[in-house]
Amino acid sequence: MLSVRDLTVSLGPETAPVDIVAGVSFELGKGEILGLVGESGCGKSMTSLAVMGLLPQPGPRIRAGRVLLEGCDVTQLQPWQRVEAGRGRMAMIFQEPMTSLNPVRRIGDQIAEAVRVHDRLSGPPAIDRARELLEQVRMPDPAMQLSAYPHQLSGGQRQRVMIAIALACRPQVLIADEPTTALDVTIQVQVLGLLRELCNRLDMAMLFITHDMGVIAQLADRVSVMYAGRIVETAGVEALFGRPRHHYTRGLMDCMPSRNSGARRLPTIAGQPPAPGTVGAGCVFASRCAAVRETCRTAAPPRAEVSRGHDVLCAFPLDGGEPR
Amino acid sequence: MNGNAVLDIRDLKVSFSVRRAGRKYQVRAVDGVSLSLAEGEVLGIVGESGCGKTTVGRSIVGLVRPDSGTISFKGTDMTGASLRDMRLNIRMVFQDPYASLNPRRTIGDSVAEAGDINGFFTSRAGRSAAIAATLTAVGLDPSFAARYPYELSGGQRQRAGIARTILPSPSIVIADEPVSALDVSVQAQVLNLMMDLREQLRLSMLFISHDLGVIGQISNRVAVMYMGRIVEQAATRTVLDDPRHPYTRSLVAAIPKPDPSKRILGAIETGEPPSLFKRPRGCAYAPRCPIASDRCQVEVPELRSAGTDGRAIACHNV
Repeated sequence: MLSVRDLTVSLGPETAPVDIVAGVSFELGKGEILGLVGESGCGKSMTSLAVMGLLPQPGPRIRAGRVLLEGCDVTQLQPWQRVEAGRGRMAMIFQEPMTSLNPVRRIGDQIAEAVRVHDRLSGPPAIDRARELLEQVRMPDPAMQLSAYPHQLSGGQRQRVMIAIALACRPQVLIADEPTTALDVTIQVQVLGLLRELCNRLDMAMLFITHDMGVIAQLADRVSVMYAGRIVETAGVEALFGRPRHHYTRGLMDCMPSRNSGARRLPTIAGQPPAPGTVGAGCVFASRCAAVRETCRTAAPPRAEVSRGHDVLCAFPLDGGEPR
Repeated sequence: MNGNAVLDIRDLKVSFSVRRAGRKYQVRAVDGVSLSLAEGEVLGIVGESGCGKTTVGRSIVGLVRPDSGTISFKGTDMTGASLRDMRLNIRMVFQDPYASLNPRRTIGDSVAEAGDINGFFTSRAGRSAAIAATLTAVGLDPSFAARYPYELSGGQRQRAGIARTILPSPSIVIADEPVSALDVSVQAQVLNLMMDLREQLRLSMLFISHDLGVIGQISNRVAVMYMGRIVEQAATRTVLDDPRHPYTRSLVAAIPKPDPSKRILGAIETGEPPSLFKRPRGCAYAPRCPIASDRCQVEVPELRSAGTDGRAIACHNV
């Protein structure tokens, strides 16, 4: 469905580019949810914007790599060209729905606008389709809510409106960038449940970006862990949480409070991620890795498939002997 | 009520007037909260946005004026007390280390501020030594005193914010979402620091957070708030392992768990909190509650003691 190969996004001059996303590759199948997890600044949002063709201009650019939507490279197309080429069936939702919605337009009109672009409908049929989309996202009282303004809705309802707008293009791929981070947990769980249901029912693939390992564990089918612009580990969700093989993945899991209930102290990962542009020849995690060896500082680690569908960017992966 | 309580809050009520569509409304953010904090204890207040947890914290340090209720510090009522004295004893750590440090002052000046105002320092050297000692206590190199906030990472800024809080040796720290803006690996470092400081400085702490995982890590006791009221209160393990109030149950169930065997398989509809402008007549949780009865629609349940371990619940039906 969606195949991203060696995607590299860079800032700075052509002659001395700084790679903020460095050689990211992943595949996404029908109905599948791939979780992309990492901490602030690791490049996960830049990856999603590059895939969507929404990198801010001027600014970061795709220096290398391909984004194939059903086999067609879309990196060369502007978003409107994608729609015209019939390659517009990819949509995105963001963390803060209030900044994505127009505060002075009724939500019915905002959904209908997307319907007009993608279905070439206008007038009452477009509004009908908007109501149908609100039903799909389980908005309470959809016919009434068409005439509401964004400020009259709660945070969870606004995110449902954003999902309805995203569904207007009948997406094959939905990219969700921290869509529940601004929501309370009892609302978050409802939005996550809705997204899972939509993926199942519409056979839609989703790239779900988050910093929250708990959300990833409960939602994703497969997980890619990102650090300093690179995917350091990819695996099925059970393999990743059961037997993490990269030292960073393991560290991230260990420092979660909910995995340590009652522990006197939380394990931590010493230090901080490297600033973009300061990455040397060796492994990007070498400066913080507890198991670092001399070669890690000088040679880039290989990407190794440690078991079927589980690969890790590490010269000395954790041994998978003891399941957690 | 509690013999060795350093902080005791009785029936605190706070409301704000809000103007909407040309009309003035009174919104009750805190609606009768009673709490006591024992010496050396960490009491967690957990709840979702708008539940009033931050307003409780801000009322204690005098940033918000309550409508009614009493707040006493070591047995003395603080309503009308001198803010200056009180703010040396009860200090606050804020959520956003970007917004709570003055961008145009050095870290050292911000950390020393409470001391400067209150004449703690008799010499320049003494002041520098105090700053250096406080920065070291929070795990920052003393050289950070000369830096500006923009030169620091989020975790370092929060450490600086904590340094500023502990400089005058307070007895109570009110921490309002102190780790919510931080990445998980940094969050763990700051939580460890707060646990260490609490022990070394014998702090009592009110730890306000929306995150039950974080609360579970640091606090001895937890109070769960919903729409301005405490709905359940007990020892931390009791609340997390055996929540009784239907709201606490749904809150605990909704915590994202790093466990793929607890996967979300489809739609879950548990409703949303009502608007603060339209507070239900009875129990505020009744419209979402799976076990609500007729009585819940009309009568607000009082917080009553349930069990021997200090648990209290505000529900007609459990």
